[in-house]
Amino acid sequence: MRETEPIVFVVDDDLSVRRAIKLLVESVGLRVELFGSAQQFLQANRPDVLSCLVLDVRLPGMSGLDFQRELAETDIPIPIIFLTAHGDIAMTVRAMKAGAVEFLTKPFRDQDLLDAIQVALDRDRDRRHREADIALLRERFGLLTSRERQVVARVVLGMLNKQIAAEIGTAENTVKVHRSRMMEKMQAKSLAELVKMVERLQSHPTVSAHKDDHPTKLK
Amino acid sequence: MISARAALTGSYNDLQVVLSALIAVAASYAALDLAGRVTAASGRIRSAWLIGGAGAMGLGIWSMHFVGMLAFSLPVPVSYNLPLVLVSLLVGILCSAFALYVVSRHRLGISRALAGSVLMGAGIAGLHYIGMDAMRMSAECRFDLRLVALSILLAILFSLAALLLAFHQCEETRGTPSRKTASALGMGAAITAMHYTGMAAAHFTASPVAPDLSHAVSVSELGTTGIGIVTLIVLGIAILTSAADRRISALAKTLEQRVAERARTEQSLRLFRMLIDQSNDAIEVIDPETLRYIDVNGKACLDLGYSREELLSLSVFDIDPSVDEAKVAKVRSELQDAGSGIFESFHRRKDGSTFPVEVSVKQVRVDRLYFVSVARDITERKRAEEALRESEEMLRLAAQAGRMFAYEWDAASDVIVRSAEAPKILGIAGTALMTGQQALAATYPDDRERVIALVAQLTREKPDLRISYRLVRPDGSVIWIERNSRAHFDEQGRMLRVVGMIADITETKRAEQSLQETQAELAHVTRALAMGELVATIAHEVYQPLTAVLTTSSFVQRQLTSNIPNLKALQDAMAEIVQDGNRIRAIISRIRTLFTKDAPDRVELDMNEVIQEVTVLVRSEAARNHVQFKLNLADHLPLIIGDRVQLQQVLINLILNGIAAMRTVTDRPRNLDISSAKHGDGVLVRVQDCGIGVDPNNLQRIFEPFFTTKRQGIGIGLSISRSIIESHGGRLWAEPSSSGAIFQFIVPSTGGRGI
Repeated sequence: MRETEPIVFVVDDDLSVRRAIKLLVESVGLRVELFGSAQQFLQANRPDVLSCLVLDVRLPGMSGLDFQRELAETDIPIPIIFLTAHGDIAMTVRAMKAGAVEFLTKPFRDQDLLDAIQVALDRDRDRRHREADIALLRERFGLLTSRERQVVARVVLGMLNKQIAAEIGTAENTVKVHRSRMMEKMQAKSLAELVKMVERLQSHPTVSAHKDDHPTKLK
Repeated sequence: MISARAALTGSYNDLQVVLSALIAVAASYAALDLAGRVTAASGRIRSAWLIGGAGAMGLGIWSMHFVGMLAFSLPVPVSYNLPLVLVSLLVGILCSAFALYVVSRHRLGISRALAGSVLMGAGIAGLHYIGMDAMRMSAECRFDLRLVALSILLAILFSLAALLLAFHQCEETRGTPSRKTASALGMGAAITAMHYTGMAAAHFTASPVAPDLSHAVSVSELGTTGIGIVTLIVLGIAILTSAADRRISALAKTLEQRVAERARTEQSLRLFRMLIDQSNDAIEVIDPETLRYIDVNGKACLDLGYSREELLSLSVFDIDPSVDEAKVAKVRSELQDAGSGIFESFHRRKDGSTFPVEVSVKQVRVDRLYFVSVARDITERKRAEEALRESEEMLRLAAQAGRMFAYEWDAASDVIVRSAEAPKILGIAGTALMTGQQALAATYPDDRERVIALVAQLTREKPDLRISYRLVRPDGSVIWIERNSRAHFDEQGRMLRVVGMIADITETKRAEQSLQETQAELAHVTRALAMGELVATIAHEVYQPLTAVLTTSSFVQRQLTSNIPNLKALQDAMAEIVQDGNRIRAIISRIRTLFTKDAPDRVELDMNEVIQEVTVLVRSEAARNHVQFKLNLADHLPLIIGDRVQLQQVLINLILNGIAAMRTVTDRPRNLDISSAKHGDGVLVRVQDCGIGVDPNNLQRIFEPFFTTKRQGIGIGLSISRSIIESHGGRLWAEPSSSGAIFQFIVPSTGGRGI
């Protein structure tokens, strides 16, 4: 039904605050899910949709900042908006460095929260697009034979066919065949485009299907 | 020769009658004299005197008789039968011996005196009539029986008189010679009277019968005179011997007495000397001129360390270093005026050391003038006096310093006698009389009931009272006193008197009060400091609902500006806002109580409520440090009496400490166990953390003010906490646990009321 609707997750130990945020955020047409603690959030069955997390820094059991770190480590790249009643600069810096979207001090202005949520959702959307993009590239990359992958790694470094043939021990013509088939599979219209594609793949190493074939390990 | 039957008339030779009387008197005198000697002598000497005396006296009586007979001349020749004459002499001697024996006895009863006189009278009469019977002549002798009886009676009576006299003579050993002579004269007269009465009883008639002249002798005039003279000589010798003996024995006696007296004197002198030597005081006889010692007793030698001989070569100046001419003059004049004087001085021993003495000097005159000095070593007394003076001084100083005084109240008179410090403390005149009624009236009105009640509870078994209360002085100022007293009761349990000490503790009380104020101030500061630490928590506490209120309000605003406001949602939102607003108010009012500095307010409290309130306040602080509270509160706890804010402060302190102790803990859940339980009639609260724990060496020190193990702590939290709990009559202590520390406190349900 609303499977694709964006969701704003709220983790705060204070019921009043949770309910107030829900009222506010829902009033702008966003779906809101509430949790009393980090554990509840982690244990919940969350749909993989466009989303952001509104997180209170002070939580019983585990602090918001530790939770942020844990989320990053377990590869849940959800944008986080921090809320705190009494934040200090050190805490803010740490949160922002770790990728927080916004650090709001309670009581916050409603618009600030809504704006932050918007930014967070945008950021999540961008990330999702990027990831979909990379997934596509990875899918194409997966189609390449090992010879073609060897050629790709050397092409993007600007090596000539003759040089490549010498290095991998084959004929220059064979390299030419690999190269054209590779460009076709990767759907790259130019060398420049191919270089961009490979760069993107290299910048997201965490999501590699085949370890050995990871672009960073091309060498 | 004249014819027979013719009455013969005798005539007396006057001269010879006188001689006979003289002999009688002499014999009597000798008898009396000898009786004295017999009495004085004893043993064989006494027998000798008795025999000699009896012989002399018997001879005297006999001689008187025959001289008397010879003085009587009859017209017929008379001769005497010699054996009968000798028998009469023997009778005389025996009767004299008996008489002497009787009178020489030390006691003479009436019956004995009578028997003696009868015997003696009979003896004299016997001698007379035997002598008459010895007459050999040519005549018949007839007796007038009445006169014979009279003569015998006279003999007996005179004998009685003579015996009594003689006995008295013997008793009074120094009988006067005149009296002895008078007695002798009386007795002589008696013998003579008896003789001549007996003669008067005899009537001679001429008889033709020739007398039996066998063994008869005739006595010439010259012979009678011879007998008389010889008798007198014998008697004289007897008297002289007696006199000499008396003299000698008297001398001997005197001598003996003197010897005995001397012995007694010497004995008593020895005793006296011993007494003097044994005396506990040094006694010295001093020459008033040179002040040299004439005699000293043993104690003097002992005290001064000199021998007697050494001391006798010294003078007062050598012994008493304080003596100089002026002092001597002073003592002399004192002695002159009063005859004696007492003064204290010092005496110096042979070894040079000195000791205090009390010297009593008397002036004594025995032939010449002497000073007798009695010196008593008063070292001990001085020491005791000094000790007493010191202890009195110390007591006085203590009383002065401690501002206290002793008093005694007498129930019968209601009068209070008090020591010298009292007027100053009580602000009354030194001479003012004080009664129990006045003392009660001076008691501070608020304290009076309490004092009366406590005094009324005193009994013989529990007579002691220790109580502090206030007194109002006459000038209106109020002082605090502490009274320690003991009541005394009679057999019936009636209070007789009360003896006690009153100490002025106003200063102490004032200091205590200011200490309390300081402590309250400090407690407030600590609380404020703790609150400072809690600011983040408090902000969070307030901002949470505030955030909810503002956020919900924004929603409301948005709804109201939209075209189709959701009324149901608006209603719910407004309810939320009100609810959160109330929550803010509750939090702020709770925080405010923590910041107040009011005097302790003791009310009935449920400790569990206090714990829950506190955990709400520090919940955020715990959350920030990832600490979980584990509450384990017992049901049905007794209510306690206490100050809510103070107890909250203690709990906050313990909880914040526990949280701080677990900051570095990463290997285990940071749990803070807070539990309550019934303990006796009070409540036990435990706060247990699993943090770094407390160094066992510091378990006590952590309660000391300004002791801290925290880098930013100032170290008064626990000390304040402990004093708060103690002011509730409870106690607060720490224990190490397997991991972390346990802090616990007990608050009795009385909450320390009445302490």
